[in-house]
Amino acid sequence: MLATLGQSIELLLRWDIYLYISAGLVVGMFVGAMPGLTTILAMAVLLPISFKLEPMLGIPFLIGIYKGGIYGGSIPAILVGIPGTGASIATTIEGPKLTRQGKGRKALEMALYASVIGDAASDILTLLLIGLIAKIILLIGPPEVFAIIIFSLILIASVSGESGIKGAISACIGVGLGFVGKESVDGEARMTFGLDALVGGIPLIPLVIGIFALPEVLEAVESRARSFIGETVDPRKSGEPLRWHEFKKSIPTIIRSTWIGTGIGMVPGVGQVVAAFIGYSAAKRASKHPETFGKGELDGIAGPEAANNAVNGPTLVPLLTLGIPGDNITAILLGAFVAHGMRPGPQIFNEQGALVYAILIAAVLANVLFVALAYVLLKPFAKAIQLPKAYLVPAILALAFVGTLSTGSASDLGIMMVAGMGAYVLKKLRYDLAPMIIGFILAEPIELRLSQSILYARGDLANFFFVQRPIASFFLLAGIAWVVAMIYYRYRRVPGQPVIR
Amino acid sequence: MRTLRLLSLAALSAALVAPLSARAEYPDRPITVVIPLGAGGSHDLHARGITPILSEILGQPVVVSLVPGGAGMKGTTQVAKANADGYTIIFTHNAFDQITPQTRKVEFDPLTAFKSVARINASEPLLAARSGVPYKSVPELIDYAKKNPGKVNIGHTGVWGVGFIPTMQFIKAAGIKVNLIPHTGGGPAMRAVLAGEDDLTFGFVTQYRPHYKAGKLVMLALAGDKPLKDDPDFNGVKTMTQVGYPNVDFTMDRIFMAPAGVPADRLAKLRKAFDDMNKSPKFHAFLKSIGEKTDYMSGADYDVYRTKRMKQFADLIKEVGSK
Amino acid sequence: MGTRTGIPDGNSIGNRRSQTAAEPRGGEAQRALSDGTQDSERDGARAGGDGSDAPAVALSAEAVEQAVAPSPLMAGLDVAVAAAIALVAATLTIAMPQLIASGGIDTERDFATLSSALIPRMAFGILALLSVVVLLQAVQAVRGGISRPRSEEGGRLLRAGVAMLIAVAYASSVTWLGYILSTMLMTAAMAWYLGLRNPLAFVPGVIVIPVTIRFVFERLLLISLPRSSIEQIGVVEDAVLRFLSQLLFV
Repeated sequence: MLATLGQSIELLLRWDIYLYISAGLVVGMFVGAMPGLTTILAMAVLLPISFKLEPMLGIPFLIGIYKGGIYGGSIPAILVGIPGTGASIATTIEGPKLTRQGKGRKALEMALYASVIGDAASDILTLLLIGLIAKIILLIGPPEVFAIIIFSLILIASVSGESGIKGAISACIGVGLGFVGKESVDGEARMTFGLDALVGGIPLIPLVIGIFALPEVLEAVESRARSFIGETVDPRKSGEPLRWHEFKKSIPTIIRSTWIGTGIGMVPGVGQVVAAFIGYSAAKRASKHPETFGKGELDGIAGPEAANNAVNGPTLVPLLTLGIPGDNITAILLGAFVAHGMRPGPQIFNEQGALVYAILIAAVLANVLFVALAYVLLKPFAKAIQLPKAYLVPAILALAFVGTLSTGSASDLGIMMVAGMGAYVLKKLRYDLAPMIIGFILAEPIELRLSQSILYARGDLANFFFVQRPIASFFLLAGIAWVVAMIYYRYRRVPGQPVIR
Repeated sequence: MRTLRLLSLAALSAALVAPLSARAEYPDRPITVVIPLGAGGSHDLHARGITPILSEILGQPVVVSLVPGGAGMKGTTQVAKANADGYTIIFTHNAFDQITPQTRKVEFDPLTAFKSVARINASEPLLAARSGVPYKSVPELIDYAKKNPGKVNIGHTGVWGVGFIPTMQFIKAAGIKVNLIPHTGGGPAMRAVLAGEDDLTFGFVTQYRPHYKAGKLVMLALAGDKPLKDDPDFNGVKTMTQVGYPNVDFTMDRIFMAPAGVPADRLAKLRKAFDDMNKSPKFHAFLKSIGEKTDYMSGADYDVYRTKRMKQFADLIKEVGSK
Repeated sequence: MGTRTGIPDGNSIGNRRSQTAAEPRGGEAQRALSDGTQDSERDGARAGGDGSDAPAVALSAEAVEQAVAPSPLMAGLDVAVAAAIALVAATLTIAMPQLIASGGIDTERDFATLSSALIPRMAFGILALLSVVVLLQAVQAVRGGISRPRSEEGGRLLRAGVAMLIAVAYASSVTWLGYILSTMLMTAAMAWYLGLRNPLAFVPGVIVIPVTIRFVFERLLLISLPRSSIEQIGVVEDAVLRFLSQLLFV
């Protein structure tokens, strides 16, 4: 192994690798920053370019796009509350508030450092533990995924404090929307009302753009304020960079989120979006001052951002060790590997170990490069938000439309508008929108995993779970224990006094 | 500022004059290829390599438009209803073209709404089992399944998908009762077999190869009747016809189609462009580089083949589908 | 301490479902405090809660009162929305089996699996129940005495309404006017409405932004955006794009 590592390092001693990674990072960041433009699309479009390069250049290039994209999505999430990618949805909780307080740049930088650290740490962990992770992945089947999702939902719910019933309603609406479309086991189409467009389910991107972008635009027009930054904020102080002491406070959060993200990365079908929410919830729960969450708390940026990036490391493992892509992005990477003559799968470490390790190390180094690049590229974004709304709002709306149109057809526009207007009304009535997205995303996996578990168990669920699938049972029991603990804890309080959470 | 406005105005007027001068022949503007699948899939991969070659041959950019959703029907319907002027075509596979539209209400007639432009390749699925199963051949499997109805777990990648069809053909032909497990794609299905959760699945050569070589998979049979003679690893796999089930013959065809109303001369031009591409070494080199083989069939031939297949699948759907 | 609509009292429904635990929050009055902009009244609840810009902002008396009880318009809307959700959810719960189109397969099994109606029904059933609870609380709030209507509110909703109209007009026109033209119109309308009157700042933006976006996306990123279905306009668009392509060697 050491010899292979030595060879890998040799492969990395060329400056053009870093040039291509940087190009990828920058492109990825810009694409990620456009709501509706997915990193997947950018990777797919640039795939031919990657083909023409040799593997040591082409694949890190694509990886650069990928990583740049995840961070890029946080930029509009923080500045205007519109997530550029699904992974940044949780960042919209604290981001816009911070921007309004003139702390937009601080938030952007915190997101950057959290993302980079989370990403690099998870990549290094993956490198070192790749064999172990591969084994764990084989152990995580449908019952485990189901249990982990339920457990995560309980976790997220336990800290979403203020939403209460309305949050639950929002979640149920999301779940209901998530069930529109073809059901997985017997293939029947549900709730499509005869619309062909809905057979595959409500498409995510128009929905997200609608739910986030439209209310933001409407609210921006609503207020008479001239810009997105609060009028009482000292203009000299807005645009200030993040100070060390502010960053230091979030280091535990970043470490925690890294573990969370790495864990989630090993569970197929859960993904960055949920990891970000779990990271946020965990940060809030662990915080000594949870009441500042929701009003502009930098820790609430660090939490999700580190988690969503930390998902990346383990996601590569099934791709590399088994040749199985876990999601669309890894599917493209698989295509890239294959096109470059590499065959991910059991033999790849024997046959091309040095190259694979080199690529993984390059992924880690990409993060280092990214800090430098993004730090510079951030400033124009942070400054741009200070422009008058009259310039920004039409541009945002135009780009939001592009985002929706880029995924296909005019019916997506309809979905976006309907979702957007509904979301605006709900938002005004104080319904929390984040649970809706979580519910929407998790509806299908929950049902699918439960159905699959029932099929494997041949109907005998109790025996299946608790005898044959210990990992799944562990998470289910942990979830139940958590709920019990929460209820007990809440009833312990002296009646009449508010709960300090 | 004023100068800028004048300049913009001038530029626009100049541009206005340009189209009036040339009444070019087909194609005189970019052609859109709709792919009814999401980014990153194998179709996308194919398209990214094919479209530059096509663009060169046709002299106009060929642009990819991904329209996933509706189990492939969103993109398919879009093209079926598009202007039949030869500037919109679809790159899809035969499950979306010949099967899915027959399983439910769609806004076009599956048989008559499209004309084939070309078939790029056809892949035969293989029936693979995980390495610990108590049977080594198809007859043994069927025997075991009959003695243990509902016990054998067969994973598929989605109802009416490319792994599902051969599965159903097989189950019906063999008359066995199994436990059908749905998955959301080839990756998860593969993982399930490797993890020992699923016993069998139908999939394709490129996906199986590394695992077969690592000893994790056993190949039981190949759909259809053409053995993989040139394949270094799988040339010994029996075909379904050889083991007595010639009806298990589904192949996944990657096809380019155009809306049926396209004028004959434009369709001919498109078909010729593809025929030319098939003669190009760049095309074959590309397919080889992504691990796929070529199995070209011209548009006219595929139209005939397609009609036959439509009927065959219609029967299968009637047999298997929900009443 | 005032209670607000939508806040459950301690022992509620949290244990029945795994989605969100109901938790009363101390410091509820802090919600909806001024966030430092001129809008001292922020109706919208952002995901995770309203902003309170702790150090930099003065608490206006109005804002504090807003935290205590909503305006009649909002409360009425709350009731209406809750009722609508309850109704739709109830209908869906009951009618779910009818909403399942066939197109799938029949499999014979010896054991029962989830019917495709089951979990959606559960979700909508829970939704219906929850929204009834909210409905009752909202009705209670309406009855229970409300502060004077907030002055700003009408204006805000009106402005939002105009923005919505612009957006809807934009959405409906994109396919038949084509992306470039409809975006131009939207930009002009929106910017003008938001106060930008200076034509010199205006015109370049209105023209350049949509054309650039369409060009970058279509030629560089290979994503096609709608071309106008009105042929004359479409021809102009194509011409402009071709011109730019040649200009920039793309």
